[in-house]
Amino acid sequence: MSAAPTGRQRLRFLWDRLRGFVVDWALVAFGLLLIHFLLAYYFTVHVRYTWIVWLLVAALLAETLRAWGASPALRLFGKRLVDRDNQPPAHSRRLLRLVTWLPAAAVAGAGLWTAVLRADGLTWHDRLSGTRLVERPKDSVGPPWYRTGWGVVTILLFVLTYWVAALVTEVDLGKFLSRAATAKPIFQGLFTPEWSLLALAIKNIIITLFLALVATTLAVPAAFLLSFLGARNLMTGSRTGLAAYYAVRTVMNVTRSIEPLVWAIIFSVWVGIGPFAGTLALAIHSIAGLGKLYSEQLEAIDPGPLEAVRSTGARTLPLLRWGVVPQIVPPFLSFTIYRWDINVRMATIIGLVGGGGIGQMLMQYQQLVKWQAVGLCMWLIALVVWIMDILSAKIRERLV
Amino acid sequence: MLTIRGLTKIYDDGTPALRGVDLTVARGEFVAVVGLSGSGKSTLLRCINRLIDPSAGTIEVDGTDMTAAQGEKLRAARRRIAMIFQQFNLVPRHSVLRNVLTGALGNKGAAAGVLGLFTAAERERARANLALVGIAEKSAARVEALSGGQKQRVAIARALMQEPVLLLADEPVASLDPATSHSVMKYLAALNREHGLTVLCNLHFLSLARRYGTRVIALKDGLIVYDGAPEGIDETRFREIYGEEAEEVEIR
Repeated sequence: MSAAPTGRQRLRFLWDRLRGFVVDWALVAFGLLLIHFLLAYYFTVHVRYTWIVWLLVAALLAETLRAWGASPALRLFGKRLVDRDNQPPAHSRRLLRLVTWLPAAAVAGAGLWTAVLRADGLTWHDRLSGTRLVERPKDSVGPPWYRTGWGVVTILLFVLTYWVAALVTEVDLGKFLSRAATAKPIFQGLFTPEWSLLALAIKNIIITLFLALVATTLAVPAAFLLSFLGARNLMTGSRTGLAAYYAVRTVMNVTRSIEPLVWAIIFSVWVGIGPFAGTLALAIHSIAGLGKLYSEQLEAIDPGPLEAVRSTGARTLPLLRWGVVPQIVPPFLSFTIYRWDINVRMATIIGLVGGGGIGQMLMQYQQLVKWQAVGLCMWLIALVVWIMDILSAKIRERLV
Repeated sequence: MLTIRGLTKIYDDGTPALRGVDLTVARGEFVAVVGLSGSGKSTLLRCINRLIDPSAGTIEVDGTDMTAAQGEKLRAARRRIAMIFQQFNLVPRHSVLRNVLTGALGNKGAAAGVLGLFTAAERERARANLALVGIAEKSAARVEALSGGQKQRVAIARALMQEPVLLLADEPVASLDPATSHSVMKYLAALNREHGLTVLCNLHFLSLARRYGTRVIALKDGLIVYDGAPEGIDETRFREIYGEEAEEVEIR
């Protein structure tokens, strides 16, 4: 044995174990939920329970899996259970471990915290059962994974997940095949476009293209400035910096997770239905989207040039200008063009909820059940998106 | 001119890089710092201009306490300590002249610095420094078009823009071939001899240290294990620094 672990190391190891337990607990709870769903679905059996009891059962099951070394998290965090002679423990010891775990965990985890206080870093149930968790040797070769306990548990969870998923999404191949004829008029309409509306459709798609252009242009400077605040490597210098980093990252993540569709609805109330609402919606979403991409690029820069400029005694802004900016211009341009490409495609969707342009036109004719006009819009969008795709790929190729 | 007392650096992950280094360097010395990778050479250099904050100890450069300096005072102190790097750390897409001019950023206000408004005098100085390292004719070329040795000379010219009292060189020739290595080292040696620039230079190869250093310092596991004349490192010393298995490789 090496020297007794320090308090800090013991705390770390306990945290490691706790984390593993929580993962196992969550997995088992998830598994129980799936089983519950299947019981209700096939047997209309409704298991009555309160949440607390259910979570406790999950915890007990999780610890049982852990005591017998069959838990996915033990594997995930590289731990294994051994007895005093560093051998896999006997079943009686495993059972003892499970039984003594109950009081140790029950008293608000009192029996677990002793692991930090005691020099040997063991918990109540570690000591009482004469077993303990140790780091799994990195190069240990065991049986193939599907023949291990954790492997079986993992497979079981996968099977349950997809079983329930198929039921929830009501996947039905029969329906898919037998009812194709009902969609026939729509397909007929789509494939015989109403060419008389071509001029109107072209006018609208030009609106859409401009909408995407303006939205991207508005987003770039804002995203550029925010990305510096959202780059971890540049902001870890001070407490204020770190606070700004978390604030910016959080706001960007929240903004990004609100769909542009929702933004479009918000803005169509705010500034009225039309292309301006769509522009704002896309701009907001692009700021968050580009901001994230830019920040990640900033986090990946080579620190060398930054060191070089810092060692000249330059101020912060010149430091960023000469140490950082030269490294990020090509990728930033590439991201921006890609974003414009995305925005053209999104602008059509935005139009569906009143954001103006070709999308709005498509929606109007769809509501009138004029499938031939919808078909025209569809083909025009496909053509433009295809051209944009090729163009943006070509330009990005040149830049990177 | 450089006084280091009890310099210690322990990284956040607990790795001790320097474990109490004492070092005094006089003006005009060319100190070659040798040692294995991970012996603390880079950390030592970076503590001196505070690219890395030391955990304990004091560093004094030309009367300024580097360890206590903050903000404006730290910037002023950094201005007089130039640095060159193994990877040159230039902007490849910019011209040679523009790269050299960034060495003058320390004297600039925020706006002039961001916009890159360099004065005619600074341009003149940049050209003179390029001439000093023998690549005056390349000033309009993009850095990416230069060879490794030329890039390092551009970096030296940039360092000279700071009019430094001390030059820190972190493995300046480790990514160059032997012939180019000597050409770069010769420029450093000339600056040291003819312009009185104090140089602290990390080197992999002992042969380079012997040839160019006026004094050699060897680091091992964050401690100085040799400090003295270049000729003083014999077979025994060598094994002490580089380990029992090591064999000396000559670079000519």
